[in-house]
Amino acid sequence: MSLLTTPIDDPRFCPGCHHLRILEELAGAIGELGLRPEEVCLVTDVGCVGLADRYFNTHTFHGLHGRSVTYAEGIKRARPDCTVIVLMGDGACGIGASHVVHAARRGAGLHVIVCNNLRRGSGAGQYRSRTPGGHAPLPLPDRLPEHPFDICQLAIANGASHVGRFSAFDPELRRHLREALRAGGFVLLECWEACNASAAAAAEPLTAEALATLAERLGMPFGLLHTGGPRWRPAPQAAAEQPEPPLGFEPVRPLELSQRAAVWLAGSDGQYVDFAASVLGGLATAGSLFAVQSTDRPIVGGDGYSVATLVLSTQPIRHLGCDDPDVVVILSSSGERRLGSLGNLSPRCLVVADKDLPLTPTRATLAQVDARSLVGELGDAWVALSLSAFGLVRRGLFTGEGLLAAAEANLTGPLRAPVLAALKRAVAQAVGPTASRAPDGASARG
Amino acid sequence: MREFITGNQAIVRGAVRAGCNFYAAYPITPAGSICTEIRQAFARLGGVAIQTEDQIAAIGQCIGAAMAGARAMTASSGPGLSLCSDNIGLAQMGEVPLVIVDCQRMGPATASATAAGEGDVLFARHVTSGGYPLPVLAAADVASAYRLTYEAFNIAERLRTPVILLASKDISLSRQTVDLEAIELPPQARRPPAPAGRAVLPYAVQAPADVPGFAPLGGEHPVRFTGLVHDEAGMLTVDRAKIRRKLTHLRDKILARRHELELVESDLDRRAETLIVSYGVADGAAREAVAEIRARGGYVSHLTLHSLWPVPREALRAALTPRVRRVIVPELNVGLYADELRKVISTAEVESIQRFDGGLIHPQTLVEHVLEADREPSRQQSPAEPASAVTGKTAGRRSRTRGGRRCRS
Repeated sequence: MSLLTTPIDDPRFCPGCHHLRILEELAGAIGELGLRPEEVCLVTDVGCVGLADRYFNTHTFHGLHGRSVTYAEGIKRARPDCTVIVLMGDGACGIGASHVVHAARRGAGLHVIVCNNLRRGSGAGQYRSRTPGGHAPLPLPDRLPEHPFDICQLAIANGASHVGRFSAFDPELRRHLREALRAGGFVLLECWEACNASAAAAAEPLTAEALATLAERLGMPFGLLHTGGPRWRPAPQAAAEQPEPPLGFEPVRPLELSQRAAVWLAGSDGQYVDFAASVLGGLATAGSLFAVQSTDRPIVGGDGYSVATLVLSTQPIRHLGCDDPDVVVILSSSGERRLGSLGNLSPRCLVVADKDLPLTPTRATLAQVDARSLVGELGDAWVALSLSAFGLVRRGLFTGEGLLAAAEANLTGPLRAPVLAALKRAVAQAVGPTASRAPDGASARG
Repeated sequence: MREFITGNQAIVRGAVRAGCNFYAAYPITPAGSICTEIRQAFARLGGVAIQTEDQIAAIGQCIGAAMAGARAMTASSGPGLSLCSDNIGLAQMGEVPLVIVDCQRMGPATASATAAGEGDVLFARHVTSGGYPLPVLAAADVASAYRLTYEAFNIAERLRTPVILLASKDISLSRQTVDLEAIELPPQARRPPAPAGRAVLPYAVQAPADVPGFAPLGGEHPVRFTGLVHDEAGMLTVDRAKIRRKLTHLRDKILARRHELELVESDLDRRAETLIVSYGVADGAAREAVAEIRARGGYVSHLTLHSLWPVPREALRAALTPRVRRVIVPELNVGLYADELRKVISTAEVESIQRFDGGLIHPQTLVEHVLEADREPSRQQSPAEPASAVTGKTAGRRSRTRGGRRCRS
């Protein structure tokens, strides 16, 4: 073998196996390109050809079956100057096909050599996704031929830049490998080869002609199949200036809170419930208070409710749960359903709800608002915030002046203006006359 | 400066503070926002953050990058941790410094992506084949998510091991007021370097508990990495003496340091007969319960476990004074860690407080459970309140449905 490899005193491959020939040509190609051992990382995984790493004096990485492309991609991203070569068997191509697809798509900067001996040599000669129909070393259970999986076309279709399929008998194999190592982008070279792991196969070795005939018959011809296409672009690693956050909080002016306060916001996805709670919690935090916000949204299933709970206090809050709210804001029926019965709410709780929502009976004080006109006035993103602030001021937890002064002093960024507008609207409404009614429908002052 | 941030933001801040510069993950609730947050941080500070085709590729890329010198992290939830299982074993065998965050959700299977659940505490420990020790930390709130992410990197680097950090939906997605700059952190640990020289023996150690010196893939001198059982050169071995040496090393490098891996907050009262041992999101309820019990004149001790594996025996031993006869373990699963504590606690009865319906254990549930000791057996239960806790004095022997306070989240 070439200068790149350690002396092979105990070759691990069977007599007649083509792996050694491919490895010799690969080592030769690496040497002809003038690459030093420390400039190359050979990544292998489980399978006969995965034993190759021991013969190379380069950096080597031997990982899990079919996952070699993933390790190689990580190594390449961390060491963009390293030439990363992946040696996979045909079995690894089957189990790790999706990694090949996505590494090709990402132009991962890898040189993948698929050593396809058409069967599982290191196991018991089982057939696999690359075994062509009619050539299975063991009979298929149902005797139905399976079409072999074309890793080359898969790579081409997904953005590989240099793809070829060659026979291990090809006298020009080293040149093909050299060209593959020289190419950028995601490079894949498949070598079809012979396996003599079974007695039957060893008794009747595969010839170059038989392999070529098989390739033609399957419509998987040898040759360079594709060049050009996307190239690898290393991810930018340099630090870059970031734009100002849309909403910033500066602790300039304290915010007075009359007592520990708990708010439930119940709406649907798209009603900015979580955002509203985060703005109020951020404002409270900038105002030297402590806040805790938890969320409840069904990512899978469910009916699109979005519920947030917010607790505000002058002291650190340990428990994330929020019991016995002072203010409940209800923006949608699905939000209300998620809260469950409002019957347990105490009379000192203020329920702020859209006037068109039918609510379950409650002893809580009810403040009905025209959320639809508020959407028209403020925009979708600001209604939950405005109504929560309204509830907190109306309930006497913040003073209107205190909340506005803290917001004016503590907010920064492009969203400062709409937040202030929503809070001003809330305060104006909270200190002005608003229709409230008891659950039986009789009007009352909140 | 105080900020109002999510647990996932805190995890990213802790990772960046620890020098993390490589992140790969497949999006999954409730871990998903870690990727968007860390991309923003890396755009400012430098680093690679990639969204991969699946969790297998994510941890695979992290392992490759880590062995090429990066400080790597991946994050997922229980279903994704399952997919990482095989590669966590590879990271153990290959001695890869790697942080894996599991933002737990209700399980098994898809279950509920956004419901509270912390049922991965045993799974994290036994996530891969072979049975070798794996450090597992557990965040209890947003601030500890920050600190423990940093600590996880330090352990991973110092011991060249994968480390699992458990968070959960109610930590990852909740926001809390925190002052991260005020949190004291130990110095940033670095993996021990391989001795300078031409021939690198990537797995050479003097004593079994030593950590092998690190030389990066792609560095100055060629190095070998393998998931096969190997000798000090990184070559496959079938020599039983070498195999025993390697696997003893994988065990001893963790267990010989189990004392320094203990991350526990102790709040002990020498008069207490009751010890609450909590971890994860139930810890917040435990802290409030402890404050209330003491305000009512009761005596109670409390341990917050931030490291679950190896089991922090020293801290438990110190807390289990002869007076302590009850150990109360609240957790958002079927009493998994309580069962583990029963294996190491022989001087007191371990009582499990469980909740696994997607809600949180309420502080009042714990207060009542602690104070009820002297009032057994009569105890009132409000029929209007939903069942929120199942308690078992010992597993399978006695368990009851307990009334809990209504608890929104």
